[in-house]
Amino acid sequence: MLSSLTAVSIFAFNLLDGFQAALTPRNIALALVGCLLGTLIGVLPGIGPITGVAILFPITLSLGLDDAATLILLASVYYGSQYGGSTTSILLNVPGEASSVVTTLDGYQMARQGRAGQALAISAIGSFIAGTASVIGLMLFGPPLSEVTTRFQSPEKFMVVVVAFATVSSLAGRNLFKGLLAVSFGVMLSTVGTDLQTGVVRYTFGELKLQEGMDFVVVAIGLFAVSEVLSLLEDTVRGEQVVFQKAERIWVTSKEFLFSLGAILRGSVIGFFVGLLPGTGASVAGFMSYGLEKRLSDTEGTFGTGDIRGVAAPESANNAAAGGSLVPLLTLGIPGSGTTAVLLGILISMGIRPGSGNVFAETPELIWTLIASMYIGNLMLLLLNFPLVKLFVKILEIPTWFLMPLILVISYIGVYSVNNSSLDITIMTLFGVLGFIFRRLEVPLAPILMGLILGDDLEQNFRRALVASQGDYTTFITGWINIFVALLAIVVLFLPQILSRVRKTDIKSEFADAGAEV
Amino acid sequence: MSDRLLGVVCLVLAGWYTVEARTFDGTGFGSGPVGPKTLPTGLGVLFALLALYLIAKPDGEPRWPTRQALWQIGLVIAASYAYGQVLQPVGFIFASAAIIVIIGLLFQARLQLLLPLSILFPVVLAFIFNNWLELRLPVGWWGGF
Repeated sequence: MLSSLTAVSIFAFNLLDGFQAALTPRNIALALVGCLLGTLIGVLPGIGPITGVAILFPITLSLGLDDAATLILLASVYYGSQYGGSTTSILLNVPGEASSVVTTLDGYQMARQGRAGQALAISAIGSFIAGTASVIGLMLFGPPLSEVTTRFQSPEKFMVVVVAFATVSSLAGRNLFKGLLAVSFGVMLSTVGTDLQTGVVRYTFGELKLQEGMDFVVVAIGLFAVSEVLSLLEDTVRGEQVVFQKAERIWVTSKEFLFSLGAILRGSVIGFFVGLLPGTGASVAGFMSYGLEKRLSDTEGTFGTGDIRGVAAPESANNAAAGGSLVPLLTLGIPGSGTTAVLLGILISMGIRPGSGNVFAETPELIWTLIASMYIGNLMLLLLNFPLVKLFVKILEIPTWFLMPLILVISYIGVYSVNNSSLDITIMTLFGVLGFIFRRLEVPLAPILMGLILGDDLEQNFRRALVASQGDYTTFITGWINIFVALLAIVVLFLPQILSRVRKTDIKSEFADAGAEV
Repeated sequence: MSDRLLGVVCLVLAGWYTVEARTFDGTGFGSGPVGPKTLPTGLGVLFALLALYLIAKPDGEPRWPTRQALWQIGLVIAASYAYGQVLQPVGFIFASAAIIVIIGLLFQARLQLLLPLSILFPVVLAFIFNNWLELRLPVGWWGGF
């Protein structure tokens, strides 16, 4: 008991150190810029959080910032873009990211009844409370779990990646097999380039630049940004336009706040624990908490018609899950969503390899600064969004003819700056076409990115494990951790299918129908 | 039909990927019981099986773009490809100005608004990146700041 208390106080001190590092004037300014940019990115059509973080990463590198500052900036962008995504869910009925799909159900209804202000306010307050809860959770669960995972050997590490792939394939789209196809395609992409162990060059078509492998930034911008521009072009040709609702000012009465408080707290707890599962993430958390809240509190059948709790629950849950998913990200190196996959790619390129060591012990300053900065980002969003919502709403009125060329040119700069190579622009264009076709065919895009980023880890651990076991494949199901993880993989693959059959409603179809960007 | 086509394309890809994997020589330094060909081979087989499933059990038909939209999308793709090809010789500013005009017109912009933007925006960006950030965009025909 005493030792665990000591451990918690050490983490608390570490977090304080993190706050101290994050609270320098420069870092606060970066967090502010990041939150503003992020919200802008989340609100704008055509650039979601994945694209935003992917485009900004190489540009951030050109700023010449140190690692901590880069992380603060990008983490704030990530948080801001999630909040911006909720804003468009409420005002436009267009979710910015998969995680705010559920918010449209009651949020847009509230906006249509002229209560957009309340919806936006409860979303900001719920997110803040959930963010606070998840930072505490992260402090409690992160370091001990990180210590457990340092005992993982290659077979365990391989199996954990398999679970992440299973979850993301199972949850990302309507069709499990298309999810698996996407994740396999991503892993195939990760095998392009020079094999690290033997120096054998694989799948490069003789192209020198491909020997370093596929860059995730190039693939992410192609798959998400370029394909979105193509999709929006099709909408323009078809003459489709979205109708948005206005929000004059953001506010809630204390009565409304107290009415939603239960939903917020429950959402925070569910969100955090869902976020803990490797490979799930904010979107699943939002759906689960909405489902639970509906069952628990919807006695008058008001959910879906503009019930404020229907906004509070998923908005808190997706924020808590974003914090919770930092636990598998930082301890196992397993991202819970497309955006955190990009964050992982960024950490790896900084030389931090979560999962292969105890990052809480090895690079505590950086990790706790990251955590502290996410919290500061949360607070900043709460303070920013109340006065600035009118401005963000104005952004929605910017015409697409103005935005799309700008997004494309900024994407080109982002991609070009990765290697100063025009070949990357060609590859980006190619992935843009692929992304467009895949969206049509409902092949989810996020698993491709996860496969690409984690593929290398998968293969290295696969080979190391087999070297250690002298080619004996049963090493992957030997030991209780591996058996547990293998069972978990099977459960997450088939549970949604079984549940849908039992309940006779297709949970995932509802999810996919809502137009998730996954 | 579309899913079946995707399945066939994936099957071909899987075949090529697996055959190619068999040519990787993993007998040199650093290889154990499994070399650089093992995971790709397994992955290729898995991918082929998933492709076969798609062929056997395709989903319903998606909504494909109309002929007009398809033509315009093709134009964006061609412009984007060309951008990569001409970026180095022509330079960031002119290449970007051209693509802004093309994309803007496709998104039904008015030319008198689009033209000034197409010059102003790349010039501002180039100025910011070349002077304030440590990133050199290709200069090309423009000269330098």
